[in-house]
Formats: sequence, structure tokens, C-alpha cells
Amino acid sequence: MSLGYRTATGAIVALSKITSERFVSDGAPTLKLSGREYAAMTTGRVLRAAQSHFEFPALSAGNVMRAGRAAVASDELAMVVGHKNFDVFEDGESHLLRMVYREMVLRLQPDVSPRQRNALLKRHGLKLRAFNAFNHQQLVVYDNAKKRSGAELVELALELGKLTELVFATPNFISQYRRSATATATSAAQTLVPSSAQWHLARVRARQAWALSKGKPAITVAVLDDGVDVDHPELKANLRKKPDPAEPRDLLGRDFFMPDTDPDHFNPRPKRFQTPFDQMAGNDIHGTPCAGVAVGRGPRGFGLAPRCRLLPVKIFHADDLAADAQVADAIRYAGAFADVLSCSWSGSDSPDLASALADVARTGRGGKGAVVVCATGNDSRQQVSYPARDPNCIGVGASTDADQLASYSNSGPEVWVVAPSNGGAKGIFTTDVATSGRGFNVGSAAAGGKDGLFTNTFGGTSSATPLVAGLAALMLSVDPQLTVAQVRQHLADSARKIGPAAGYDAQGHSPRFGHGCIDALQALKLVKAAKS
Amino acid sequence: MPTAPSHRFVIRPLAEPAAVAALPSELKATKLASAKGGWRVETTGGPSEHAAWKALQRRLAPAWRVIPVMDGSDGTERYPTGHISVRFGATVSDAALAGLSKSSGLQLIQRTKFSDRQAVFAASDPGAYLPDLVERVAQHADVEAAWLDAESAYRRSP
Repeated sequence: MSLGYRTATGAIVALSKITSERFVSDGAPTLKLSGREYAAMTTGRVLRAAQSHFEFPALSAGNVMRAGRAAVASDELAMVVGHKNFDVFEDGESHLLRMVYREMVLRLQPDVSPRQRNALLKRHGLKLRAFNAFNHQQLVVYDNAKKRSGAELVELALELGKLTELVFATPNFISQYRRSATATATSAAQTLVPSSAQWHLARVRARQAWALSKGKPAITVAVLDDGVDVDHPELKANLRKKPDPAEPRDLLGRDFFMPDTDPDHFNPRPKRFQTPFDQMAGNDIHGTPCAGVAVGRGPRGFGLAPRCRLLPVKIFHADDLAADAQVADAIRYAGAFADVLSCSWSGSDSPDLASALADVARTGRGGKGAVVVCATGNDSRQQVSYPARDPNCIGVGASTDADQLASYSNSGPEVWVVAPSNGGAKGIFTTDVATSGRGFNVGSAAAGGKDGLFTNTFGGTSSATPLVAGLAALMLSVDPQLTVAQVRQHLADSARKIGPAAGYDAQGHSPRFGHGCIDALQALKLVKAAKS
Repeated sequence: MPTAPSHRFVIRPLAEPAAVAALPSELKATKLASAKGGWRVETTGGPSEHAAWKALQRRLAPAWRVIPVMDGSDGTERYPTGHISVRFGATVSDAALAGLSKSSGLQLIQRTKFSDRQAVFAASDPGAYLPDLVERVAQHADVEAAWLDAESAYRRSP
């Protein structure tokens, strides 16, 4: 029987039991799980999580507090991972650790009497530990005889879940995810594993690149768009706080569509919504997925630079006309307080935008130039849209999961690189507006999850662009001294040639694919080599 | 038989929209999806755009400013806001801004945020033909470029 647990929606998520082995490496306790090593901080958290929830003998509070110290932690870890009732699993959806030790949570149907409840528990060798404080039909029960392993308890929960007396039954997991919510960036960074839904990250070798850098918080990506949901659980922790020290009202970005005399100028959240809420027309739902592609923190929706910071800069209110002066101001603001600007939109040539782009190329990042990444457009035309064709921008086209040019992606001499997006068999899985009933996914499992926090239908050159912005942020994390020209050149030199070889000229450039599809690992290797 | 040429204008209220007189009902005007307020009007007849503008501006003065619609490089229309952006060759002093305002018939609205080389102006004369005014401002010795600020439809690219 395969292991798994049933979610609230009835879907079964697979659990892979992972063998654990404990050893001390360089004086630090290390837990090796199925070949993957989790360093001291993670093992310490695993240990503390287990100890604070499970009853293990002879562990005083003092010992728990000293868990970070190598020798003690190592010994205590042995007691936890070596326990016969204790198993560690990898969650098939989030790929995070989930631990099970003797306990289960049951929710009884409202008409199940105490007598029926006790009979059910007795039949399965379970004992009542506690009622849920808010719902007395929900119980924490435990394996009284201490005979079942964690894996056997997972199997039992699946079986019990089929009983008519129960609404659900689930092992009482101690989840790494829950603990990670308050963990430091460093500890969480040990286990960045994108799900298969984020195929685009595999295509650019993100995981391998993350071995070199997951991005540094000192590097900020500005997303200039129709607003970013700053309350999204996988974006919130990455926000650049108080970006403009001279403006105390600027807490986490601005809305340049609103004049700065309006308090809403300092609120970069999406504001404009109308039915149907999952269509872009009339809705501010475009910036949040873009932000996730660049700097989503994970664990469900990783961006390519998951530890860099995000500066939301709102410039559009859905489809309303936008004034050049305001968009240009937004570019200058972003150039002053961010390292990379991601622009997944296009418009008419504008002297104001051109001057703003020239300004940030000259003055951004203390004179090294802000990196401005722009979408080449989705019109299937042989002309790159504006501002992607501006000489101060890096024009980004879209390739598919089959390494073809997406049919909609514009071509022309200003295409610098392409990056994976939709247009083939798969779309892009990324963050979505978290407000209930708003966003590309308004609450469908098929569209990215019933909670509506993510969408799997994003795409276009809109998605390819923040992926390149994320890569630029990783490159600057490795070497913050890179000039914008060097970033541009490394992107080209590291790109993987896709499509027909004959399409590339002597300089390795194609009007369709630019210099090819970005390769994050190769780009970081180049940056590292050039730095040393 | 040749058809009469048509000309497109954007008309902007010169005071708060609620305070200005209603547009003449026979004028075929389309409200812009704009936070700044404005209407798009298409007229037929008149030998030139300038003559058509003059006739319409005279008719709508003093409550409204009439400005020709511009064509964007991507085929969309661009609707001037009535403001003029001016970029100087170097950091510009307050005295230089005042000098330009006086000599060119401009009124300073504000310096451009995050740029010490740019500022935004309005025409002092509500009846000025802005394309001509911008050309004159651009000739000024300290000015690198001048242009009409415009609203347009940007396309998000998903």
C-alpha cells in the first residue's frame, strides 16, 4: 500500500518515508535523509519540533534549549530519529519534512455519540488524548500500545478516513512547513525544492544554481505592474521594507497611478477588480504572478531568486489609461531603490520613459546601472514592443516547455534572451492574488489549488520577463559589483542555444531566441569565475 | 468625391470636472478611461488640424482645453494630459526654471521626482496650441528635450 494522507478536499497527497541517518560533520549535528543533508539549524528545528510535541523520555527543558550545541543536539537527535514509533516523511506536494509519532487527529461526524466514539477508538487500539478546544467532535488520539511505527499510523489514518463515522482522520503531523513560517531565511534555505509544477525552474537549472546562490536579501527586484499582493504568504516575507528612507510613509512600495498627495500612493496592492474576477480585463491580477516568478519565497511557489527582496511598484489600474510621466516617475523610483526592474508590459514609444530608462541605467546601483528587464510582447509580430526595444532594456521573449519559441512571442534584433513560459503543453505555476475569489485562480484545484493562492495558467512574455529578472538578481547576489553591461553579457554568454542552429548569426544571436534560453547555473558559474 | 478630413482631439477640463460647464450635446465625445478626466472628440471639416483645433477651442473656452490626439508607435492613440515635460541638459536651478517659465509662457507644476534634470509645466495661456508651444520650448538653450505628457493604454503581457 502506498503511503499518503487525505487533504480537506479529499485528495490524497503521497508521503515518501525517508531513511534517516545521524552523524556529526565538522562538529555540527547533521541529519541525512535519503541522501540529502540537513545542517545543524534544520536538524535543531526538527528536534525541537518533535520534542515540543511528542513525549520522549529524559529530555529536560534545559536540554531542549541547548539543542543547538553540537554534542547535546547530536545525542538528542539520536533519541528522536532512532525511536521505533517515529518516522519522517517527505510530503509529495510541498517536498517538506513531516514527522509522525504515535498521534492522530480524528473529526467525528456530528451524530456520533461518546459511546460510539469510545468503541471506535478501542477497536483500533487508540486512546483519547485531548478534545479540540473549539470543536469537541475533533480529537487528538494516540497509539496506546506503542506498537505502530509512524508509517503504520499513516496507513491507519487512511483506512479510518473511509469510515462513515468520521469526517477525516490524519496523522498528527509535525510539519517542517509550519515551523518554517518563523524560521530564519538561512535555515529555510537548506531545503528549497520546487515541485514538478514549477517545471520552468528545472528548465533553467534553478536548483543547481541555488547551490551557488539562492539570492541575497540585499538585492531587490522591483515589479512595475498593476500591483502586488503584499499579503501573499509566499511574497510577504521577501518584501523590501521602508525602501525610501526619506519618505516615512513609504513602507513597502508605491502606487504611481495615484498622486503622492493621496494616501493610496503608498499602497501598492491590487485595487481594481470587476467580474469576471479571473480575467485580466478590469482586474489588477497581473503583478502578483509576475512577482512570484521572480522572488516567490516558496515552498509552493518559488521564484528564481527566492531569497532576494521584492519592491512592488504599481503603475496601472487595470486597463485605465496611464500617463507617461507617472510611469517614468515609477521607473526612476524603482531605479533608486531596487537593483533589478521587471516590466511585463508594453506601450508606445515615449520620450519620458526613454529618459527615465537612461537615468536608471546611469544612476542606478550607485552608478553601476539598474538592470531593466522588459517583455518583448505577445503579438506574434516581427517587431519587439516598447520599452523592450529601448537600448537600456534587456528584451525577453518566451520559449515553451518543448524549447520552441512560443508562437505569440515577438521577434526582432532587440530580443536578448528567451525564458520558459506557456505556449506549449504547460503553463507557469506561480503566486496569485490571495484575496478570496480574486486572481487567475479563484479557487479551483485544477487551476493551481483550491485555496486560490497560486495559479498554474500564467504565461506570456510577462512570465518569461520576471524569470530573467530573478536570474539577474541571483547574479548580483553573487557579485554586486557587476555593471548592467556585464549582467547583460553574462546572460548572453550563458544562454543555452535552442531552436535551429542556422537561426543564429556569427555573434550567436537569433531574432527569435536572442542569445538563447537562460541557464541560471551557467550564468552563476560565469559570474563566479569572472569574479575570481 | 473626396471625403472631408477628420481630426481627433482630447478635451480636458481646466477646473475640477464638477465645476465646469457640460460639453455641448451635439459634440460627439467619448469619455476617456482616465483618472485625469477627459474626452475624445472627432471633428470633420476644416482645412487643417490647426484650423479645426482653433474653431473647437474657441467654442469650448474658457472651461476646456483642446489638444490634438497623438498617434503612438504601437498604433494606439495617445491623449495629452495638458502638461509639458521639459528635460534640461544638466541639473536645473530654481532660477532657471523661473526663467524658462517667464520666457516661454509656462507655469511650473512640479519638479520631476527622482530626477534633477526634469520638470513638469502647464501653459500659462489656457488657449495655447500646445504642439507649437512645445516646439518653442524645445528650442531654448538650456533645454535638451520637451514633450507633451500623454496618457495611453499600456498592455500587460501575459
